[in-house]
Amino acid sequence: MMDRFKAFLYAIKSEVWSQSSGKAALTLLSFLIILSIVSAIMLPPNFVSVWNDPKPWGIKPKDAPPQWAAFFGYSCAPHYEADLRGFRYVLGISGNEVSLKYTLTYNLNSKSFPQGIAIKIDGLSLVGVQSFRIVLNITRPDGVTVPAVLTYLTTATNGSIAITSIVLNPDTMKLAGTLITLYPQLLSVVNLNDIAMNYPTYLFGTLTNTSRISPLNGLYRLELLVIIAVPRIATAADVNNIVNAFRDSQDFRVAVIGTCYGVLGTDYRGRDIGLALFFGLPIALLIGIGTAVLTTLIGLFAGLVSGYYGGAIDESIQRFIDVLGSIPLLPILILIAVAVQQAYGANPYKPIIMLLVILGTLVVFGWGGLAIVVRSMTLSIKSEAYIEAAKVAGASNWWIMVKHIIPQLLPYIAAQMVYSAPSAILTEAGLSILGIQHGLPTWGGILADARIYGNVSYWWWIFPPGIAISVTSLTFVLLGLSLERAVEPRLRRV
Amino acid sequence: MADENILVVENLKKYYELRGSFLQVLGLKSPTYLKAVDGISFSVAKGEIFCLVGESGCGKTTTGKIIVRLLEPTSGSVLYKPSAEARKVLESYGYVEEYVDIGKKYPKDVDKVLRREIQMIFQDPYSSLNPRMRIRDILEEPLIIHGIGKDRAERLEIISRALEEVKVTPPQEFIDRYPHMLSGGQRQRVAIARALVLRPNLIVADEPVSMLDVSIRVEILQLMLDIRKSRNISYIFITHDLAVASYICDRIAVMYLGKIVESGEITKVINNPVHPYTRALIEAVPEPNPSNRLSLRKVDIIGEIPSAVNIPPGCRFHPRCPFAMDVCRREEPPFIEIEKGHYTSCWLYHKK
Repeated sequence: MMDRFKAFLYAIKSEVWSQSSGKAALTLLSFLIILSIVSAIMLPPNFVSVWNDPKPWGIKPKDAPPQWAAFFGYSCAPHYEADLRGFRYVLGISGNEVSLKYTLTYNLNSKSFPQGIAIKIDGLSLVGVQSFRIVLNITRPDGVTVPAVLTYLTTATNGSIAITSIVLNPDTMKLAGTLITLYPQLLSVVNLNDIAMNYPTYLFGTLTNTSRISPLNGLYRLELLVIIAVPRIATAADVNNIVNAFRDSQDFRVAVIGTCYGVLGTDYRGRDIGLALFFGLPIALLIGIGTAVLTTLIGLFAGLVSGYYGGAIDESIQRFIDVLGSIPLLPILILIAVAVQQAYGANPYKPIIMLLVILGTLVVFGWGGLAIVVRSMTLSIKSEAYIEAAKVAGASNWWIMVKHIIPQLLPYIAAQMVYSAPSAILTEAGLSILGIQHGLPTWGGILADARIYGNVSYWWWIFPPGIAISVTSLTFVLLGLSLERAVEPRLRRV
Repeated sequence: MADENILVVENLKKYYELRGSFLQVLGLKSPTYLKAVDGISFSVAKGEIFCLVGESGCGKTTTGKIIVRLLEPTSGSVLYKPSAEARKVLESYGYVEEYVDIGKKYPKDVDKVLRREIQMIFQDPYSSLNPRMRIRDILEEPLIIHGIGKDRAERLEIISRALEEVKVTPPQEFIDRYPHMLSGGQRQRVAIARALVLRPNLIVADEPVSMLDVSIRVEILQLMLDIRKSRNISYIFITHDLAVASYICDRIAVMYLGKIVESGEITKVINNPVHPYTRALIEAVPEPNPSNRLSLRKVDIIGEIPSAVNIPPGCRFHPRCPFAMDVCRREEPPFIEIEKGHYTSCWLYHKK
């Protein structure tokens, strides 16, 4: 039995492979499957919550095109991020203060301005300290030092400081004042509020003769001072303690936020679209294949039972399918999704619950058509003389269904299953765009965000998920086409 | 010969309920019935070939299907005498009588034993073999179902012997073929082999040669006769062809609209047909001799066989009968013996 099954699979495979569409389908499919396995292995367990949390993405460029867009004429201010945990610092001790001084350089060589400056701290816990202070000074290429671009001060409660996931940004009004003092001529072009609203332009720009601000290219020196006060004269143990605390923190980095980022750019929150596409692949395949398999199994079983047993069973199944078929799916889906949203709004697993409920609804409403076709095929097979012959030989109903009917339905079923896979992916994407957002970073979800928060010019946000959905659907359709030809001899080319 | 009956059919009826009109669907009006088989009785002796002949639609196939238990009779009994082997299983379930009524339902194990004893050969060997199964799978299926042979090799051995018995040789060459790779005659031989692997006592052959070329009919008939000789199997042979019937049958029953109109030993019925319908059937057998072709015209029954829903009152043959009398339209004729082992139901032979 196993050998025959293997031989059958091999025959199907070589038949599919012999067609050019089949070759394309199998290549694409294996590519998608390998990619999704890699992605599933790499997927961090808390990815969904990280994705929906604005803080981790605060130091990334927002609405940024991919880095390679620079080759096509986009002017990209480079994005610079330094993880300070592993960075060289100069240690200073004066009185009860311990200071770590980091010196970084940022090279601006672009026609556009960076989006800003930010510092991210996560999971830092200092014990036995009084206060924690950060000062960032920037020396511009023209030799002028802008002091205290970004400052931060926090004092200890009960002698300890614990910081979880914060993103620090400059105090824009203060920074604007500092810039005015350094460059009074700016006031002839703009006022203080404009500078505050758009500080990167003035921090990284210079006034040209034509009274326009253009980026000041060259090396910027960032001097970051981390000053920690301890309740006594600082000892070596305190220094050790502080240095260890920074080394053991979850994240501590400074960023000059550029205007291009990553492989596929970012969205309105600075989230990496490439990451979402990559981790969305196994979800998309799961949605497609899972729904297709479940729908097909239920349809096969219902159709088989309905056609084989006939009578009241048949009548009730068929009328049930009629009822299901006359219920409009879309309003029901919207209704169910809203209900789940209400019921599980606060649940951390809400996105997953909602996705499963949507898929469940698709399955519940999706098997009817297949069941009708399977029933009619079963009816015609059932009346064959060899079924009677098997009955005379003593075969049970189960035997007849498994040995005589299902093998004949199988090719059709397989092709149907493959065909129905993309429809689930498309439906999920369509629902997301209609506003039934479950919050999982699915391809449809990204597209839906693009519709709500995006802009027509953000092509990196619209095309990649669209193309990903199309390619995946195309894979299944091509596979279905070539499978159909493989199992249906009438369609076979001579 | 009739000393040991293997099958006794008594007053067998098979009605199909028709719910045509709305009132009938609602159950407000009694349903009309299609009387496929309307009270027939006959018996089959051990080793005998019993023929059922008649036009299409006369109920002969329905009778055959009831005997192989594909259909359940509406009423009447089909008494079958199981073999000694089957007896043991039956007795363990408390069925101690010599004959069991196979028209009834039985527990699964009993059912299996009874099914094994009575097998069927179908009319069309092109549709009675699953086109997607190889010959070995087709023949192995009943063996697996009945748990015959302890492993694959032993079953294969049984299959090979069965194929040799039906002269599909050498078996090794055929077991891995699909049905479409065989000729019609070979397929019917495989179908016979499938019936034989279970070692039945009774085979219902439903027009087994009517779909075959005339040239290979005799071979198949001869094969069936050989098997009867070697295994002492009884046949119920269903056919519409009197030429075939006269070749193979021991006794014959002519059916018309669900009833037997004439029955008896084959030589008596063929040489001395008494019922007008039998006579017409014999007249209708084509003659290979061209000089006799005009004699074909002598068939003097008129019209078509009526629907089994509206069976004519009285003798059901009377609308087509050239000798119809008043009594034929009023009363059904009784089944009478006109000579030893030759019965008919016709008012013409009823001695008042």
